[in-house]
Amino acid sequence: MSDIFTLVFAELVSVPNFLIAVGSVLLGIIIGCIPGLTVTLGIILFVPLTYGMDTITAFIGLLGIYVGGCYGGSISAILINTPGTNSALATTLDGYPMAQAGRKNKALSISLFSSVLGGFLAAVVLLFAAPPIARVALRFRSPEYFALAIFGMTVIAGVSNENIVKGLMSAAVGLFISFLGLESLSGTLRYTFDTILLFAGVGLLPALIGFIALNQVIIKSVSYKLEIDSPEGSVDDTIADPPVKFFDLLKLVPTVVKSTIIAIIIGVMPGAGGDIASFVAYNEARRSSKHPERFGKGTSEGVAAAESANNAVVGSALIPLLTLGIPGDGVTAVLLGAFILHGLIPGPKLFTDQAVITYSIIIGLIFCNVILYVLGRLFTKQVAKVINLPYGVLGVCIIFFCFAGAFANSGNINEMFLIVPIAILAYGMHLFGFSIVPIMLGLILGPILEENFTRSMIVSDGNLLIFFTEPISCGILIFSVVFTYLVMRMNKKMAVVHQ
Amino acid sequence: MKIKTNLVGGIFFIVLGTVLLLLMPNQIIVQDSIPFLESAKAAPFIALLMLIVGGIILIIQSLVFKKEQIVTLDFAVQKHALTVMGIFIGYALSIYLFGFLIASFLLIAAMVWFFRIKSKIQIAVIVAISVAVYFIFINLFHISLPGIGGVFLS
Repeated sequence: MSDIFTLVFAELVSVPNFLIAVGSVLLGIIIGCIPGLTVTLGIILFVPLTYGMDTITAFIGLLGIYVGGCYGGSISAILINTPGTNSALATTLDGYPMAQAGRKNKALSISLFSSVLGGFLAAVVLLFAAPPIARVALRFRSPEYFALAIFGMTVIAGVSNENIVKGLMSAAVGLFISFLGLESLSGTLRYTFDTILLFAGVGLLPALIGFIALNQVIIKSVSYKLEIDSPEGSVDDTIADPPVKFFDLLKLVPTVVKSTIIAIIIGVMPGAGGDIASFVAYNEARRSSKHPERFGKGTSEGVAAAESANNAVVGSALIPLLTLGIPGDGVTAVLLGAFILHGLIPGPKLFTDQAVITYSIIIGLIFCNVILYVLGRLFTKQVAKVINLPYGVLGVCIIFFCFAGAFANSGNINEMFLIVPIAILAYGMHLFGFSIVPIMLGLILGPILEENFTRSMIVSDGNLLIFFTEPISCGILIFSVVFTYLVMRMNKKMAVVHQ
Repeated sequence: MKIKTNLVGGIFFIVLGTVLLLLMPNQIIVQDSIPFLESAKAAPFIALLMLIVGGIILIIQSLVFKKEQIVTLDFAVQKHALTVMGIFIGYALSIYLFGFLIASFLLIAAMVWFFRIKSKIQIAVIVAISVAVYFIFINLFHISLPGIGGVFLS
């Protein structure tokens, strides 16, 4: 084991990996702080750039964007009351009142400290919790993996807005698209309509670019076009007050630790992402506070609770992803896609077959949190100025990356053409209230579901009851149903809180 | 125009799912000896079944339980979406015809018109980024993009 850690540290302190970590965390902060650019979008656009990198460097870059983006979301939440990411919504409750009271820098420094400490602690938990879970999961076979993939689909319950039926239908669209083209087990062609365009199926990356990135460009371009006639004026980005002193920040440690523990528990559950974790942690901080009446009016504990929670989710969401191959939310679903694109299958074997890569990713996450603190202290004021960047400029640049990324996936111009009809389909589904994240889950989990379903059918002579006669598989499926119900209930409560 | 999304969405996906199911025998050809659940047909069949059953539930929600999500489609708003989609199609075609760089300059012209960007600095920034993306992909990340000249010179 010590040999592995020696290799891991040698990898992490190498100049390319260090530079990528610094660059990606900074890029993540910028992406996170611009309302309309999401962490998911940032990671999707970054994936094509990682093709020329080795696996460890690639994932340090992707995690750097994730870590930086979670903190970056709080910058616009605090300064303009508009969260850069969904998970920073709870930060607006006390962050913006602090900014209005002339305490912008104090709110930002609390946010940075809490984000880093929460993210750091969760990454340490990931380091120690993941290997034992992976050892247990090593006993799993096809029925259990199929059940786990079904469990992964329970994320749908958390992201289906008001109607879970629409969420399931969105997932079915994603599943169907993932089944197009050549089937891997038998080599059968499916729904190619005799066009060479569909022989290899729809590539995962072009599909993600079309469904998520290009679709967002259409949505955001329309709203920006409508805003052009009634501009709101630029944001006051002057940050004049001094930051909170380090000694005073230490007083927030109990709140941060408690919020981190809450977020770790919530973060490992599929479907319950950073937004739910930050609201639950915020509510708990208010409930247990000696001065609950100060919450919502600009209290430090409110910002600390929300921010430590949403950054802690980064580490905890990686626990089911790395050990079981289950994505916890939209961002980890894209990361799962990135693993597959780099030829890695997340799951228990990752800890034995690819130990150096796996531990480099986990310890790299800890490194990224440390780098976040340094970059946040140095550049938050400068990065805050990009909030004023017009979408006209950003949108065009995102389009460049979308098309270049889709082409880079396989060097096939057909894949670049595919992203346009996919984006149009996604926009249509968005208009009709169909959530896009389940499509993404269907696309990514589809091949895993099918492979393990077919293998289970072959070993059981087509007996569907195999999923229920195998105790672990049966347990996971029952838990999936119970869990879906719990997440739906939690969502209803969250909807009330949001209102 | 007000649209009942549960009803219309339900009908759309039932029709789509049914058509794709009917096409399955021609589009997925497997040996008769392979049991259905072990064949390449099983997974797409289940996905299409989910679409059809989901569509039926949506229609029942709309017509029987009067649970509906009504969306107002305003052409004055949606024409912008259609314009952006048209620009995407034009960009994809021009990358094929002229290569990434020239197509990107055409895209910039279209988007400058669409967003009514007047600032020369902003336009210069976009042009610089398009050139930077091209060279970063090719030289830094060693990922080839359709070169200058596109299909005519390749």
